[in-house]
Amino acid sequence: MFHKLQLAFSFLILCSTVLVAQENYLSDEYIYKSYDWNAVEQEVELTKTDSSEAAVILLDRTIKEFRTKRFNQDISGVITRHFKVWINTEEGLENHNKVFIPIKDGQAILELKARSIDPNGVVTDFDRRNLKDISNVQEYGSFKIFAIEGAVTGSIIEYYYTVPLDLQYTYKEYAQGEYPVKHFSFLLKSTRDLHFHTYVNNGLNEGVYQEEGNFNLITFEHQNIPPIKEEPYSTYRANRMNMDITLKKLFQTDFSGWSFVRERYKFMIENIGIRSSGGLKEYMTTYTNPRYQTTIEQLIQLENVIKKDINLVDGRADDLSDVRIILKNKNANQLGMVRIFAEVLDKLKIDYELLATSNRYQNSFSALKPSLAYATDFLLYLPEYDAYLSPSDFRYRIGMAPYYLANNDALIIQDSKYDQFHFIKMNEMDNNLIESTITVDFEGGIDSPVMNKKNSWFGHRGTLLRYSYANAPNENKEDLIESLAISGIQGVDLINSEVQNHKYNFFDAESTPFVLDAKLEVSSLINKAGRDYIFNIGEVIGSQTELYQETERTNAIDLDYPIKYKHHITFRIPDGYIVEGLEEVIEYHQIIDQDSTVVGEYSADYEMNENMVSINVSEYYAKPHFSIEDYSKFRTLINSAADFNKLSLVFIKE
Amino acid sequence: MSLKKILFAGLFVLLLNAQASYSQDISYVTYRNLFPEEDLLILSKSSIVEIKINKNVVEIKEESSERKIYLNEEATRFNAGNVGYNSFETLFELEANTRYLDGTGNYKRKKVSDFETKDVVVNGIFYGDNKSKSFLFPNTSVGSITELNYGKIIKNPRFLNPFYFNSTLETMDSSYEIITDKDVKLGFKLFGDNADNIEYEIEPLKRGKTRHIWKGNSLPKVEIEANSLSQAHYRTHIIPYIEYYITNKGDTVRIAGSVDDLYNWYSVLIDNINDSDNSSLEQFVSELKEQSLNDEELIRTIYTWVQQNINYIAFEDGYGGFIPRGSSLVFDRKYGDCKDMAYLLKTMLQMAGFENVHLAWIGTRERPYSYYELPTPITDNHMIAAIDFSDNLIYLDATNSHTPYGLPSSFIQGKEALIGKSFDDYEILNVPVVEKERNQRIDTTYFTIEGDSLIGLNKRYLSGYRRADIDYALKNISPNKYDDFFNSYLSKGSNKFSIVSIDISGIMEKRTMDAELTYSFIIPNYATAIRNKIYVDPILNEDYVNAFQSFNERTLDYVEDYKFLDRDVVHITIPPGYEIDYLPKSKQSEYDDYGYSLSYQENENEVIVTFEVYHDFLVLDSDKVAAFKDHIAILTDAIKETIAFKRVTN
Repeated sequence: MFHKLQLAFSFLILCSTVLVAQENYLSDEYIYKSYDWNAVEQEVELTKTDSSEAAVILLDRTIKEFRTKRFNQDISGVITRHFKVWINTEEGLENHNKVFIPIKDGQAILELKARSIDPNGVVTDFDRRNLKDISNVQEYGSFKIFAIEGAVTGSIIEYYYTVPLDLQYTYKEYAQGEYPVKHFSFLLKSTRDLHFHTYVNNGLNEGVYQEEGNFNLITFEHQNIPPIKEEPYSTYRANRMNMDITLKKLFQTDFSGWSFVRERYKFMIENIGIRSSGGLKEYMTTYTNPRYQTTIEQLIQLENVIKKDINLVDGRADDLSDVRIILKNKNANQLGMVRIFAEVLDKLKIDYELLATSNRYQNSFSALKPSLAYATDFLLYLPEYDAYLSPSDFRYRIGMAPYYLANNDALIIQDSKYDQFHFIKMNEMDNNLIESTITVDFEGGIDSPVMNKKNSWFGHRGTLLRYSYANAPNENKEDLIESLAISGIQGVDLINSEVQNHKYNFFDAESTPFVLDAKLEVSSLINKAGRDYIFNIGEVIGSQTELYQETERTNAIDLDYPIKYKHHITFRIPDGYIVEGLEEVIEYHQIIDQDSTVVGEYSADYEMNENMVSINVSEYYAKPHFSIEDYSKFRTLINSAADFNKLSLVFIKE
Repeated sequence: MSLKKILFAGLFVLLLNAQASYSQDISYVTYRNLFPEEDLLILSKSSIVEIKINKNVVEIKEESSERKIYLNEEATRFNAGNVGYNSFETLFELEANTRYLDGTGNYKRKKVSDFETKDVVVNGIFYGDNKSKSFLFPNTSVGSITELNYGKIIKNPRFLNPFYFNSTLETMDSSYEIITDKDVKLGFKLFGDNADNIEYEIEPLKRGKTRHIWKGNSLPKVEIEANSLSQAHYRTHIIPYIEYYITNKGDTVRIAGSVDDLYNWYSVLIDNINDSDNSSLEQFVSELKEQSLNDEELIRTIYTWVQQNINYIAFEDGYGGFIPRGSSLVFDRKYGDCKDMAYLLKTMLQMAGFENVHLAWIGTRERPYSYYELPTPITDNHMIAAIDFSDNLIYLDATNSHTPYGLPSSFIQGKEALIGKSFDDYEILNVPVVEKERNQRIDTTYFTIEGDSLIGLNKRYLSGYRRADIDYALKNISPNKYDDFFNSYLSKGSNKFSIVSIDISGIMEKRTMDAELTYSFIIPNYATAIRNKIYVDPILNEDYVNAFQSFNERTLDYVEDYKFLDRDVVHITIPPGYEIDYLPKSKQSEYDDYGYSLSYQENENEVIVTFEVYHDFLVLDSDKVAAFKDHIAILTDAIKETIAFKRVTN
């Protein structure tokens, strides 16, 4: 396709990538002080595929330098970033002609050069007087910003800068993104008393370690990195080539291993008894009654109250993590929420484990890679109840772990000499059932059908809907319900509806479905064809996701959670008509695992009893992860439901 | 105003009268009973502005306060507060606190102690001077009342702030007050749905001062609906301005007494443009001139070049928001904002030999103001170039790289343009509204039925803004995503639609006003073949009807980006061995603002179905929305009929 569009595009362009001489690396001077962005020119070949990209990154180089001062143990650091990109489209230009350099307020840029080279070879250097400051922008911090001058489609944009950099325990560096990268380069240079450990992920070349002179050096080089493909049902963000850099040793202090992570977060659950000085006790006295409530009932009650009463906010201010102040101000950050619930559990004398893990869509936890980068989210596990409590995800209540943390390992934060991990369980598909019971009634006339539809959402979906409904402003609740009832069916009107189980006042959020019972006017499902009528019965299940387009899959399949759908549809054939086309309903597909277990299935069938027709459609995915080899079968299942959505029957006049 | 609004306004008056007898700390339960649908309310908001002449300088101080009450648990998460300001203002005496119920029914006060200064990044502006003081109200539990007080020094007398009496929250009480010295001539204008309900009092004070008071006590909250006019059209607000003031020396300083005053100020700003050496630009323009066959092509070439080579990047700090940058600077940098592009266009066209090229200030359709009634900078927010050519004034807005030459950008249609003719001379003209016939989408489709699939060919013709829309979409699509884009953009029948082959060369040439693309396609499982019949729904494109399915609840005016005319002509080959069993009757319904026609015609071995819809309005007033809903219902029924073919029996 698009032959006529494609340009004659087989060429080599010369572009100057920089390979700083090795001896520069070993100099006692900071590299940035002698960095020459014109040092070495290297030919980069742009391929025909590149010509269909919005932009191609020719060089993405980062140099981080840290050095200690032996007398006062101060550590100074700088980051140099050298970036060069070829612009192919307006989109590519818009995404690269504005540069944001993260920097702390009050810090100065040590080096900055930028230029564009237009397709005619005209070079426009950036005038540094046009550099601007923006400070404390939302949650993003402060930046030096500038716009690239002289750049048009077809230009090369190039800049490098050096700014101060604080030493952190961990860094995450991504080599792969939206655009192809011809040359990725990363260098970490530190004085000999600073040691780092690195992990590469998703196929990035391993780093090369050197100890030379006064410095430790770690270098990473990778050529020709393809762009990551954004695919549905995937954890494509987590699948990007990246590396973790963690501080291993500073002077004589050891920061390596999970023991450091444990030590760093242990304080959350230490000295619980003295933290809130009675504030929480007041809560408990007000909202619970140990004489009439079991321990777990008290916990459920308190979780509801706390998650209603406290606002979760971003920020690192001490006030947001100090339980005493939180209880007064009603504002807390993630850390503050963990501390509150740890204290609640302590007061209720419920055993728990504090789990540190990471969002599997962003950065899947690995026990083999001890790093703070994998300890970004916290859960409390209650062994006695085999249940999870998510302190900072207000959508969830005790029971299931949030879907993005489940099916993932976690580090147990505790005072122990040994690393202990916990596999965060994902609930079963039967617990995530979405069931709809649908009756289409033609009593009011063949062209004026009315549909009664009762939807029950269990598990994760039910929990998330319950939160959306409970937290929608009053005036938006009706819109939400209407949207759920109509579920993408065009041209229908909601007559009435009733919501059940929308409050968090029950024991088991997971197995108590969010229920919507709705009555809809659905005449749009009927098309007249002379004496006959077309009944678009497939539309009653609502719009379905589809994977109709044939594209080469690059990521494995990851679902939010295992899930099962069941649709029961019944209707009475209008008097004086017969129905045709029912045999098209029958369909069966499955995915079978290596151990012969059926892990995915779509089945649809019908029964006709006199004039009553009933159709049963079932679709399930028994596990959250499927290999890329299963994609074709997975696609068949997904598309089967989408095909059912297009199914039409014909009522023919007898 | 809709009936619903009138009823609500009446109810509101009754409630507020009832409220007047309550104490200041009326129980939140009472408010909750009065407003069961609301999460939080504004109890009161006010601003007091003092305008003084100190020696020869005008000094303006604005002090504002706002109190909100939290009625339920859902509301308590709206605890973030902020006060915005810019480089023309100095903030002072910012104070915020929460008064919360202590469990015994009494209120206690807790002050906000932590205010963060933040730069505010405004959508579409790369660098500006907007800042905010942000904070969290503590303890916003049910029944809490938050209080916010702050003052601003307004540094420039042209930039008095508007005051909004109501908002999207119910507001119990709002008042605005201006105290002027005797030598200040104040002007003001009220806008919004309930401007007539604002009480105005004027009170003489000592030493020739005057107090002006406006009160809004019975104003319903403003509803939000998609595709309606901007909030400035609905929210009741006042925009004050200083017509002139007299200094202690007796000099009269004119500010905003008339359009002359405004234009005089603009002229001075434009006169300050820093235009350095333009030789490279002159050389470039002369090259463009040599390549152009005639004057019109030269204008078009210059416009298109600026559109496609100057990227929209806006620096709007301080007077950078008012004064264009020099044209050679913008030419070299290859970026600028609307006024930078307008001034570059003007310079280039003048270099090319055109004399009557002007800068034009315009308030986009978001702004409900006219220069005649409000001669202040708040009336406009945009600048373009305009050229007198062949007895026509051609508006040139290069801000969007997709607006076709000869058309104004869609968001300024019908708006006043303040056209600068010379330093002293200007003219106010209305930007034309582009007729629907210039904004067309015409799809001509030929298909055959094979099994239950449709196999077809389509030619899509686009003109005017319809053509600009696809340019805009393609701007953000890289070539390797064209397959997905066109499959979605051209999709018809069902989402099983798939393009087999396509020629898009006709839309990649951006210099043309009209565009065509052709493609072949397949739609599996579309037709229904049962027994000896084949049923096929000939309306492959139901986008129009689907777009208005959520219209039932609509109460506000409906706004279109532009007028349009869409036509789908579908040629269906009668399947071999079949004949027509049922062909629906043709229908049509045409009104001044909108209409449709749907015709079915048998022609030898094919059926031709023509479906046309048009909108001949930019704003469908709220009182016409009910009739429009009926129109959509009728149309929805009209397209529900299916063509049936039956096998020929011998």
